[in-house]
Amino acid sequence: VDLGWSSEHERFRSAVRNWLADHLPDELRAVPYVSRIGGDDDSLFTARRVWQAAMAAAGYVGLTWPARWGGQARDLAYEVLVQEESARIGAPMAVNSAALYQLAPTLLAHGTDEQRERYLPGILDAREIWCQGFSEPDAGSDLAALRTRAVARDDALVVSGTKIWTTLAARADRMFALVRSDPSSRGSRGISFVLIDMDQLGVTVRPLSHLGGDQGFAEVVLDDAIVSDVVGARHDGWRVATTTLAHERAAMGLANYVRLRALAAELRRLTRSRGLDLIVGALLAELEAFRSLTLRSLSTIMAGAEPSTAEASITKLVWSEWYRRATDVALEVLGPEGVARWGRGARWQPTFLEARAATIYAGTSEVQRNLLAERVLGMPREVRGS
Amino acid sequence: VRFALSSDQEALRDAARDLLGAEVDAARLRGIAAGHSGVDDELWRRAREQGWLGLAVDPARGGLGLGTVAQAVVAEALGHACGAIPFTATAGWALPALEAAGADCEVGDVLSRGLRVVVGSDHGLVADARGAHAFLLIVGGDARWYVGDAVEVLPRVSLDRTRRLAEVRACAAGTLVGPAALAEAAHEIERVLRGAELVGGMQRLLDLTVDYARHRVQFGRPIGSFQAIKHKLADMLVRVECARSVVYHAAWAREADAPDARYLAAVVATYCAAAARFVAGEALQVHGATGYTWESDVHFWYERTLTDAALLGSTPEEIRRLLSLDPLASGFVP
Repeated sequence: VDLGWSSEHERFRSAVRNWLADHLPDELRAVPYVSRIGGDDDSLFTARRVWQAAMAAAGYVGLTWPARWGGQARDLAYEVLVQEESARIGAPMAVNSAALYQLAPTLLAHGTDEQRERYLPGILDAREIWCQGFSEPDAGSDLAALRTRAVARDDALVVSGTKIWTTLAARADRMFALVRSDPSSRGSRGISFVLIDMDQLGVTVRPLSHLGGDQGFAEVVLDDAIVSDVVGARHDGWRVATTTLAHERAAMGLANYVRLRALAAELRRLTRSRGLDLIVGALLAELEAFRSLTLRSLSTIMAGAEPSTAEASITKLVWSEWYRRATDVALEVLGPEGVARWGRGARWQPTFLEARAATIYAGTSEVQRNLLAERVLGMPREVRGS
Repeated sequence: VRFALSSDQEALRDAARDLLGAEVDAARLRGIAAGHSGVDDELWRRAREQGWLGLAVDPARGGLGLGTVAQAVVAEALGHACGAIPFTATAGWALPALEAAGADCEVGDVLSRGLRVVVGSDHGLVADARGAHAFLLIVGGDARWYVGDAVEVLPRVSLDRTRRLAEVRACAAGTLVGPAALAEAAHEIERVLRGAELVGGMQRLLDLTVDYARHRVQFGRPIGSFQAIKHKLADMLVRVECARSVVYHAAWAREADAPDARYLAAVVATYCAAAARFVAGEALQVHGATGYTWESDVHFWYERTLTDAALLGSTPEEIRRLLSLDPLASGFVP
């Protein structure tokens, strides 16, 4: 057990910290969100896009990627340090985070060189914004029930169906999606991982308003939309999509800790002298135990192993449930001001609402608990309908 | 950043597991529970042979010179087995306090004679006092050393009959070891090791409950196939793993003398006590009526866990102490 950072890591950390302090524009400081689905208006979205390009130009994006594809082949600790320092100064998450943390690792693991060359540069500097087309109206937690179909027509593959609850869909240039390419298949077999240009006749984006007010959230109707690439083998999309997920989730853990730690300090100020020490102290202890857990996951990855299902699911479950309870306390303390859109309500309410989404997206808390009970503790699998 | 145990620490863990697996079983625990002192003399003898008492003591004073992580490894194994010996009190509190005070004579006595030492306040409640050979007591502003009859031990009936409480009263002046602050400083190590014992105990409760949920059939299915049970088990697992993470983090911080070592020890106290109460409560609930009876073995770990949690923290005083050590207490300034 040695949980200290090397002097090289510490030097890198202070370089990042100084660079961020010098370059982060004022309008991006302390955006009151913890995760990726901020309620961005157009100007904030544009500012975030420019910011990611600046970070990329400074060499602070894609640090773990091979040099050949614009990265620096560094160990994951460097990525974590950039995330931590960004969170510490209050900078928002990278605007293209779905592409950076899901698609890019997938392309690096399963894509062709041609695909990497075509897509990775635009992901890195946010020149091309990506959205993730996984969920469907009848395939949410049960993702493998997805029905969007892909059929071969002439030389191309065309897809038809509906994707929904798609973050950034209204602003994205491209989508990576899971579609059913083998019409006779069921469940996780017969699915392909495909890339689709959003700017084409077969793609219709219907914006969805939501509690957090994000204007990029949408339903996407695909009607013979043309697929530009298939990543990995056709029909092998489920495996392609899931192999890199645990890695990325574990890596985001520490950044989430830093963002939530700032929230905990704010919560202490909000609740000061209101007799809530016991509640806030217990929350603080839980968050610090979570920090230790994320250091443990990081050490697993740095030792060259994939983080376990247990680590990835526990990480997601702990931080999202903590976020929800901490913001519950804040709104309870504020009384009517908490539901107002002015004063301290303007600060806490969007955060409170975003926390409601955090326990749902990327696998609900209930799905995470099922995974832990079945795959880690060996309980019998759910009875499944036909 | 390396969380994994070193190969030496792994060897220590495996040896501890083997020894405890061979020594301690339910019949043994029943015997201890029915016995005079509630302390396992034979296990204490084996612990001495293994060198567990002096794991973290300076080699110049007869110890092995290992650190808090090695001690935590042993404490976790003890908690898993429900071992009935005051390892944490002796090795994690009394010995570090005596070493810090330069009380070489007393340190030598503890190691060479295998003294069981407990720590507490004069007129306070202390665990495992009945079987103790020596006492480090806070009397006024001093930490004082007492051997044998110099302390009156008044047993107080308590929940866990393998970790009993007693009131201790000094009946002589004892030997001055140093200021009470010395014992307070060493208390930080005790918190971490008590947390490690709880991690072992929580893991055992989870193991027992998982096994029960897999085999207990109701409504024609193992109860572990129902989500209501699955989600309880998952929530138990989350707490076991978070507790294990923070205990080893705090143990490393202590031996590396990291700036947040005191804060992490306070986190261990508050987090592990609350997590352990949760895990124990859910273990009992999932076991149903069976677990409520002494026919089942769950009660050994249930009683031990509640007792250690009570000794450890999540009292209002401990939580306020944690808040006072919060490095961002003055407010987060990005």
